[in-house]
Amino acid sequence: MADTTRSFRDAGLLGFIIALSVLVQILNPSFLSLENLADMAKNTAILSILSVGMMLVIITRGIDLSIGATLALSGMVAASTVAMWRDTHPLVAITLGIGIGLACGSIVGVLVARGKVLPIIASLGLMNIFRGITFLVSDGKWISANQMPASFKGIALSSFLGINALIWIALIIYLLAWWFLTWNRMGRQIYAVGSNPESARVSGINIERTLYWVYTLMGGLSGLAGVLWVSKFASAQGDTAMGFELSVIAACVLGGVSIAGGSGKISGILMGTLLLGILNNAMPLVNVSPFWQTFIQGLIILIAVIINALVKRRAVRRTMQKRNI
Amino acid sequence: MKKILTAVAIALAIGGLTVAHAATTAPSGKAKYAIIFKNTGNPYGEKEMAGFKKAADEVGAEAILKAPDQPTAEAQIQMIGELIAQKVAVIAMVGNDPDALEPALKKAMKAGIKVLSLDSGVNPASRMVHINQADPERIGRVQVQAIAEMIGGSGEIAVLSATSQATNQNLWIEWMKKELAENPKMKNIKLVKVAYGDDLRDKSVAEMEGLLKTYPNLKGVIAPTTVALQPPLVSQPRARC
Amino acid sequence: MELQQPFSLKRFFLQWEWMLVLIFVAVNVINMNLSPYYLDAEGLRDATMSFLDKAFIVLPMVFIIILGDIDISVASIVALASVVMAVSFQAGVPMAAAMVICLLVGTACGFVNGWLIVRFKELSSVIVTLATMIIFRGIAYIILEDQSAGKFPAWFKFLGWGYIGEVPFMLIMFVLAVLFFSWALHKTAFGRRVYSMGNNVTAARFSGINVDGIRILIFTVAGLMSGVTALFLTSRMGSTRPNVATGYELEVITMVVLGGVSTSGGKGRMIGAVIAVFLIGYLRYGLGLINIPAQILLIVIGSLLVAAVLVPNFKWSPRAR
Repeated sequence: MADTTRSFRDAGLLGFIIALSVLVQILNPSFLSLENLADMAKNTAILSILSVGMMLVIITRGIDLSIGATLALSGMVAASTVAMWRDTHPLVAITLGIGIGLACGSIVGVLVARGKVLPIIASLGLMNIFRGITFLVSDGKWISANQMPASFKGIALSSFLGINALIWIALIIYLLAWWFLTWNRMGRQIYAVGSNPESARVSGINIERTLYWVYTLMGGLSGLAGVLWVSKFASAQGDTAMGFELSVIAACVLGGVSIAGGSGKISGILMGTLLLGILNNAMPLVNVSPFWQTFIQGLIILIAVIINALVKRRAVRRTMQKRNI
Repeated sequence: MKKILTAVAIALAIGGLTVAHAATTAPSGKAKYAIIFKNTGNPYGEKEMAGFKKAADEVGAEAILKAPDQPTAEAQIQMIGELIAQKVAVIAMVGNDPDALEPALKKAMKAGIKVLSLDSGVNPASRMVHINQADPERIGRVQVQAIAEMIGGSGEIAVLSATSQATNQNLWIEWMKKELAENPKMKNIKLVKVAYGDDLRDKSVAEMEGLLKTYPNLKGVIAPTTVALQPPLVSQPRARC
Repeated sequence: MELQQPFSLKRFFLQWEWMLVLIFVAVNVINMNLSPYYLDAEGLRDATMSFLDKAFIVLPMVFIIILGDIDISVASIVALASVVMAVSFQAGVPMAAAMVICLLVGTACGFVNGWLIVRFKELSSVIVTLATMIIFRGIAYIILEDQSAGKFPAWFKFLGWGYIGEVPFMLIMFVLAVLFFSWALHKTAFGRRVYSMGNNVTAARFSGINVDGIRILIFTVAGLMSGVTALFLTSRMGSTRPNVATGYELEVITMVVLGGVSTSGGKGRMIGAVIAVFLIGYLRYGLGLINIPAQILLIVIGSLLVAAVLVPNFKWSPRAR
């Protein structure tokens, strides 16, 4: 039952995306040009990377509000490092960013798994702390483009086979995540923990360990995203990515990840981020006033989640009817 | 539980005393001159505040440098309150909004504090003096002339500014528009859009990319703020400015 | 449960609220040591006016979090209400009527939230208010674009800057609001119903409580109080923009949680949240007086927040397991 509902919903979302694309294409023929599509993918890459982590968190019935701050902190540390030692290899910077992200994430993980603190509170508290530390690390200053070596800025500018590095990184992460959720034992356990913690415990799953790793993974992805973000915008600031966590959550919700836990698919969040990416990219193209863009975005999110709810309701009713017969 | 309570109390007390010690050792008795900038980290603001500190040191006053983490008037109002309580002698204001600071600054003046504004000014009712570090008319006209030269005298241009409430930038943009209208040499140049990056680099980059996409024939961009100056550099591969 | 236990002095003093009082006293002692200007009646009095504006939303947020819900759209409601008020005033509506419009807009937004949450129970309040947060802020941008609006009559300034006798008007209004909300939560049947809904919605519904009605009412009141915050904030600023009050929602939630109200529902009291408001407010004020950047404060608030939820957990977990 659940599978048919979900595929029905997926088809609906896909249909919506296609309809939207056709509409935009009619209004502005440059929308489906290769150049614009590549641009759009590049600009959505960071959001899509974070959505993977957030999906795992939400599947376990959690939420992580600290990722924007984690992103800023690891981006700031990586940027300060390359500003100080200009010949640092970009890979070292990326590793450093991921490392800091993992550390931040593991603190959230310990609080949630061990301290039994509600995820929303633990991550809200740590969000404040990580922001404060970002400020301490940078002494309130910004790291600007001229302080960063070309090799570092090159991370987001370089391309392979004509496709931007950010897109490659996002693709690799999606492949890994798909493997992890389909074939890895812990990946399967994440669903079990989310859909029914009690029976998961009974069947021998170490819930604390699973939760800990989910948040740590989320942190690691935020760390990676931090380096990419700073390289892309060539600027590290104390307020980098403030509020970005809400966009990430919105992408997951659009992609059909249920806040109640237990459900969420890679293909879903891929479409969720794609929809947000198209909205961001297409509205300027069809000359929607920038002041209308926020409103339209919010409205589409609301409509999408309401349709989701209605579809679910209908599916449940139908199964009930079948049982009666 | 009791143990935790005691531990927390002791930790707080020790923490408090050490910080207190550090703070009270600072010299006092000198007159305090304070400056409030738009937001922290802004490279231009860092320079401005460094200069303010230098000048205050020269006249033998203690300089207080403040800037909120976000470029909002709300945070600046709070800071003005803190400065009034500290009984500073002078507040130099770089405003995030020309009108919103009026009640707070009036209160400061009533408390005997000398209030001046510089750079991004506040309305005349809320300060005694405004220091315009540069002639807005010259800035506006010269920037248009410069870009005219760079793009060869004709084509579409855009402006990527700070916040829509930044007084000085808005004044410059007014003069830019006047220069475009008055100077016959500029008749082939069209200002297609004034975009605002809100003094945030991420937003400025996004706005810049939007400009490039919306106006494919864009020849040049005037960025009258250090923050917005960077995005054109980042998006350089495609920009033609 | 609380009612069945006999009164114990020990338990009474081991409550989270006393911990908050202790921290509050510690903060004041530290601030006094840090700055010679802190212990100044006038300064302490006027400082309240800079943090009480958002405190009006804290009161209904306590109800929302006791229900086990959350509302992250409140800051956007503040912005929308404020912008509509300014624009209608500039369009010629008398100021008093514009203020009523401000409150009505807030109330309407809150009602929309409540209605959506009750109508679509599959969606959690996080999702609904996340969407309306973007929508309300978006409408504010549509109305005012990137301009600011203001030029209010002089008397409007009284709300945010005026005194009755020696006491700030805002402080008096806040105290009245606190009295009303505490009464509603702790002394009425309505308050008891809210607690029982927070503990177990299904049980509450079967015991005949109009759970949907109560939920809509509480979210509507949260909208109304966001309108009140919009009044005070706009009065303090003298003009308004679509991006005012950004980030207020997380500050408000932080105060409520620090006040010992549990987001898993059913637990917490009004007084804790009120102490937390003053605790964070004076902490910020004290650091501001010694000119320490506000970002350092984030670390302190974050740590307090984590401690606030960790301490009760440590208290019970060794015995429970």
